[in-house]
Amino acid sequence: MIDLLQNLLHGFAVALTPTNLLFALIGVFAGTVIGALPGIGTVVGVSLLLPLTFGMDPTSAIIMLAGIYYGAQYGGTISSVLANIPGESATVVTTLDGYQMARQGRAAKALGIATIGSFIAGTFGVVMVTLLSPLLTRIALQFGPPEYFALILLGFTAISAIGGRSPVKGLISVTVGLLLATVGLDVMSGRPRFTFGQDWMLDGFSFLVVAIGLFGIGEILEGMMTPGGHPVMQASPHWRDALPSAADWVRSRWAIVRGTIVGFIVGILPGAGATLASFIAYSVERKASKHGYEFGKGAIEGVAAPESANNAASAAAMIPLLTLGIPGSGTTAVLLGGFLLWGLRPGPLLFTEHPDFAWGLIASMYIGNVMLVLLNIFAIPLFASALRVSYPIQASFIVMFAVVGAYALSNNPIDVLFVGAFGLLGFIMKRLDFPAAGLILGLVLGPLAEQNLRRSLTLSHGDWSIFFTRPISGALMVLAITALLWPVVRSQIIERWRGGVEPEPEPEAGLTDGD
Amino acid sequence: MERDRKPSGDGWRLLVAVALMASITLAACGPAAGQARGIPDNYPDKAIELVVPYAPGGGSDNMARTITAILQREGIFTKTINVVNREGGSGTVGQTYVAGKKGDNYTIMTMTSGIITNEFVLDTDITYRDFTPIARLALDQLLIIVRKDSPFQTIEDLINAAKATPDGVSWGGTGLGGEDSLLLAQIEKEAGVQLNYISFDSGGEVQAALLGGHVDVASANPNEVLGQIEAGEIRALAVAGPERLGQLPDVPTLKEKGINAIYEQTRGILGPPDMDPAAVEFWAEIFRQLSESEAWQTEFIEGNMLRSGYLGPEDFRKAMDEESATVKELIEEMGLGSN
Repeated sequence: MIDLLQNLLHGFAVALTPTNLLFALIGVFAGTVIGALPGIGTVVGVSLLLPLTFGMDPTSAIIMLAGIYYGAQYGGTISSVLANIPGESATVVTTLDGYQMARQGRAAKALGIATIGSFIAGTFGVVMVTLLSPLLTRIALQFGPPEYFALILLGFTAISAIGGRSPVKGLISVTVGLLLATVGLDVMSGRPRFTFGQDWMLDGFSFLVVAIGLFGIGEILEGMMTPGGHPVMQASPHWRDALPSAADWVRSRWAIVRGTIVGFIVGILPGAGATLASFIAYSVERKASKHGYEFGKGAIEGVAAPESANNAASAAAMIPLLTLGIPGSGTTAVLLGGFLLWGLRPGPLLFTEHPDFAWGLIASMYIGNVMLVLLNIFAIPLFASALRVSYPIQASFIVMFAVVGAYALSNNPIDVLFVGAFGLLGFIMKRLDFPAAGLILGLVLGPLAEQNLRRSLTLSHGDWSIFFTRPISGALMVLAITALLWPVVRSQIIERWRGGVEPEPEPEAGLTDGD
Repeated sequence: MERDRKPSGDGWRLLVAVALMASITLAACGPAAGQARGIPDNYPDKAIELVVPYAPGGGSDNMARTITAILQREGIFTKTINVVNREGGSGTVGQTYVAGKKGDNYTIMTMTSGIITNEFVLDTDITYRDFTPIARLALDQLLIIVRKDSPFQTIEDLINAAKATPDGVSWGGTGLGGEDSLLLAQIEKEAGVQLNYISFDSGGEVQAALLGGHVDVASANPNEVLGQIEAGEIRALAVAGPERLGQLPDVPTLKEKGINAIYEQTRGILGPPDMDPAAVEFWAEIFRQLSESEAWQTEFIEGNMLRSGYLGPEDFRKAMDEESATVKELIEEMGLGSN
């Protein structure tokens, strides 16, 4: 413990030098901007700035790049709340309640609770990184393909939380997402699927293109049809408006705690990441909250939980990177490339061979989170003021950002056409009450689920019992199956309790039919 | 296309006539103009575009950025080179872009073995034969690794276990049709064994699966796992190249152990189709100087644990032809062929 404290203090001595403070500030500021702009994801942001760090002191370089990485998790919320466009894949679920809050004139509150939740979760994440890295690494390694599959299956239960009124429509949306996810290169066989011989289709549908279209453009089209239902902001907001009211805080505090824990656990697993964490956190919260019925209509917990989760996850993803040299997400993979570029050997010896680097980075994450919470709280009125301009002007800018963002993803004009097409689909889905978030859930989790299912079955030579005979996988499977069937079972019990006047409740019957 | 046939009347005929004339003129001028133009004395008289057909942060991107940095620093080539990432479709998107720049002497592209294997695995029209070879620069190595508590102490232990229980030893690697699976196919063929190949998304996932005991054996690029090897978490059984690695002198090659399998991944530079021979010569010379420089050998080759292997344009073409023939045979044996 004394050693640990000494190391951490040493880290702070490194991170608090004026140069490193400046680089941390540059990093978190750039991260916030990158996160806020749809299309420029964290991976691209970090990759573009990586070459600039060539020849820099590795510690300053990693402090700056890590700042971009977790800063973007704060910034990604902004466009989700203000324009219904997720800036990052991990902020898709934030749009569900965040944008509704903005429509009710509570944009500053939504951004405020997201910032506070992010700060608490991010700081908790770093404390855990400081204290428990070696232990957590061992736990993370227990996760093989069957455990991942079971966890992802649990992620799919989020559909009951984001599915809207009709379970059947929810399942249809997820299925469409799963089908879209099969387009592109099949990792397991190395062969193209449904690409019609077109090279540009080998990458499949980019998640962000679909999300920008479904949510951003879909919302604009919907807005054109329903005058009056747009985000409005009467007076110029003050930074105090961003702070939660006493009632909001009471509702959000446990949401933040639960989101943080879920996010951290999922985040440690290499390859699982912040997106899965945010979906699971949202569904956990909807079940746990007393205001579950308000979810999707502007519930503040619906913003607090996933936003805490994605920040805890991004801190947790640093653990396998630092202790094993194994990247836990796309962005940490780029950071790993940076390690090599700066002449550092990632792996178990990093902490002993380069204490300045490892502990300086950890200390800078404490500092960076403080910078971010201040930066964001004071910038929120500025961002939220964007909603004071009239809706036609707002809409024009959103379309412009959507198009530029889609093109910037991979400089491919076809992506712009896809944004338009998915915008139309998003509009139709909204009109017919199909949950667009379900489609995203299928698209994001589909490839992960498929690959880990096939990997597990290859390992077991086709024996399905592999999912139940391993302790972690078995427990997660039971949990996932219970979560999927619980609503049906519960309604049956309630029926019996009330004497079973109605033979078949509508929605639950739908779920069993669609299963 | 369908729509183009429908319009009728004079406007349509005029359009056809103009299009025909334009194409005849272009066809007549094209080669002649190209020959007459050659390359100017002060070539390259404008900025060079170095296309990386993969995303920023990957191996090809790293190579391109190291090239430009060292060329500049060592004074080998001090004019502007812009590195442009055109990623997507396993490299085919950027490759298609460069293939379209016929006769352009100001565009070059990084090359990996991916362009050779893609021909047989993907449904793509782009092959390495569409491009002008300029220089081969390096060969990526592969290590065969196990975790520290594995019962396999040597590669023989592994082969014996695989012989005892066909399909019983699991082997983790990235992608099917990629370098890991091609090495595996070679070993299976040469040693007469059958292994259970588990395909992962990235090298990081493979390492996590190996360390967690979810797969028995894995293959990985040395620089990805050297840290783990030094820490004693991972043990290397063999290297798949023709010679031992400088940083791991105790690890034998497969060949030494009587398994006639050598798999190395090529890294080099290609030019667009019909690049001017003088421009090709110019760049071949620049890359030869780069390859011989101290900075390149230490920073890129040693830093990434590669094998240096400069080849000029003609030899590079022959090497790619040979690699293509080997890969084709292996992929057919694996039953992966796209046709």
